[in-house]
Amino acid sequence: MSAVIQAANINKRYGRHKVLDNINLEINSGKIVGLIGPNGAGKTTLLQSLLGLGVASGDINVLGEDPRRARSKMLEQVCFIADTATLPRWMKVSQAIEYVAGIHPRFDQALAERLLTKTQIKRTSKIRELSKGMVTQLHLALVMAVDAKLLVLDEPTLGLDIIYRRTFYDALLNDYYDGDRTILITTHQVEEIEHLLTDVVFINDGKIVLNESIESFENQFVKLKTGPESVAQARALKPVSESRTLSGHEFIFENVPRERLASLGELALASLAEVFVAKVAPTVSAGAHEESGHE
Amino acid sequence: MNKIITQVKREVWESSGIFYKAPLLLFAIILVFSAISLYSLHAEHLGDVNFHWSNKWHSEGEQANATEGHQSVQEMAADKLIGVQYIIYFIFGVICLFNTIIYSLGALIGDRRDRSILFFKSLPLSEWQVVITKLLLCAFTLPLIYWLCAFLTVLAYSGGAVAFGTSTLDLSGSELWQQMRVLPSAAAGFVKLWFTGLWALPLISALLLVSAWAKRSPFGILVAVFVGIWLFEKWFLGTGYLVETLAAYLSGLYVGDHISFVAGDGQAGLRGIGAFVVRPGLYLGLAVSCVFVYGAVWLRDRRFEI
Repeated sequence: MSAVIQAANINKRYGRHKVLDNINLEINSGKIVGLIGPNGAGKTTLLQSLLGLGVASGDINVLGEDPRRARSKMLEQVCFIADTATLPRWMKVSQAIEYVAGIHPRFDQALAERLLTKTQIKRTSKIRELSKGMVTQLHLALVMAVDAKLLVLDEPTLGLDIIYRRTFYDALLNDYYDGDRTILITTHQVEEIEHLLTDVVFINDGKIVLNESIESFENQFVKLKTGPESVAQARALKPVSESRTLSGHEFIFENVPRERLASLGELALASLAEVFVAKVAPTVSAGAHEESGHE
Repeated sequence: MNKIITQVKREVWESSGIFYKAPLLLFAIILVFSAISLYSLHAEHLGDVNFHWSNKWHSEGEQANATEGHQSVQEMAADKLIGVQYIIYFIFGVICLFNTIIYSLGALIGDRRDRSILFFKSLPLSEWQVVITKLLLCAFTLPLIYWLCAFLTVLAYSGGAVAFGTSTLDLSGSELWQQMRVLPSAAAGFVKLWFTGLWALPLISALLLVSAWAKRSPFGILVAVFVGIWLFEKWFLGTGYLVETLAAYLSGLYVGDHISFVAGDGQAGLRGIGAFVVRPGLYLGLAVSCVFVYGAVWLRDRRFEI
């Protein structure tokens, strides 16, 4: 399995603020990677650096090219959706298709047209006349018609309703992903992409705080639901987070053998969202821990 | 090459008003006004012509006098007919100049404002290709389109004028057509527009640089920078280099004194081209243009977000 993205010692500052702090990242082909982080964590800056849209120091190699030197060549094999509604509003749908067909050597115009027939989008419409969901559908159709090796999605469903979000990810998984392509997604709606991912990367304050395959993630993190009688024993095993529920307490453990936890209560898979909150918001967890400790 | 053609299409789609709606509208308006003015001229001269025609049955001497009078009316009318085509070229030229400035100032800010730059940047097209395409469109394609529309307008007008001259003024159609010099004038304009475009490259590059730099109101920034430098020079240095240089440069935009094809004198035309290409300002301007284009590309690569 070859590396599609290799980034080593990536640093970037805005004035005194360090936005990317010595990032090291390697993504292999065929992976669907979720890049997850809170607002201001550096997700978009990292993506922009990987795509040559921003200047950062360090070594970056995407599909054998340095995006800072050969962005145009690299983008022949990479597709990118940054946010929703970035398609030019003055363009007609037909013009958008014609434009991408003229610029992108790996674009299949017939496939784009076919994908659009599955939607309500008319070729004669101007993009400004489409709803936000339709614009995203159009953008996805344009991207899916490109025979690219890497697809980068930066908050692709932000502001869309649940139906469009579901449709978007269904199309991505069923019609686009073929096992060889690589997809890198950033989103706030962690729970919506959880089932898609093969790998997950958490980023906070410009640093990668977790980089695991989903398989490894599920082995590494476990959720314990327990009653008040086992709380002290659970805390002694140093959970990464603790929260109270109506029925008792829930703990998230990292790298603690399940055999040691099984006697304390019910074990379950920890969701990405739960581990994300535990890893990137330690102050909140600590606060919760402290609060429950006073009880 | 396909990418550049597609990029040109994009520009035409995005700025259709500037690229073809405005010149076509101008074409239609001028033709309507030309038709009205020809009709007025027709009404104005009808009495004179009838008067002279009525003299045909007078004595020979009287007829000679009448013919002289008739010729003078013809010449005056022919002068009017011939002069109008230059007014048509002038109107198209002025509108082209305004639209070129508007287009240049908006060329590299529009996609940043609506964030569609992120879409364009997701495609395999370099900023060099984007900026240079826009620069060449401003310098050569827009003037070419306006010249073509002006030429077609003049052609349509001249056809009408010849028809009017032969039917109403009793002029020889072929003579009037020759006097109007429609094709030599058009050819001269066609040649001049390329040299004017070449001379205008630093000015257009400067406008594109401002467009790539500005976060809002590029025209306001352009004026502010100009006024700022002018005042600084005036108050602190006591000089006026900016205004003098700019005036000298802008006067150079008129290449008519150097390149003359209207006379149909090929040697004179070549001499004019020779005089143009040895202007030191041309090469200085091209160098300045390269710097400005590099600056615009640099800004598009690094500071495109508003």
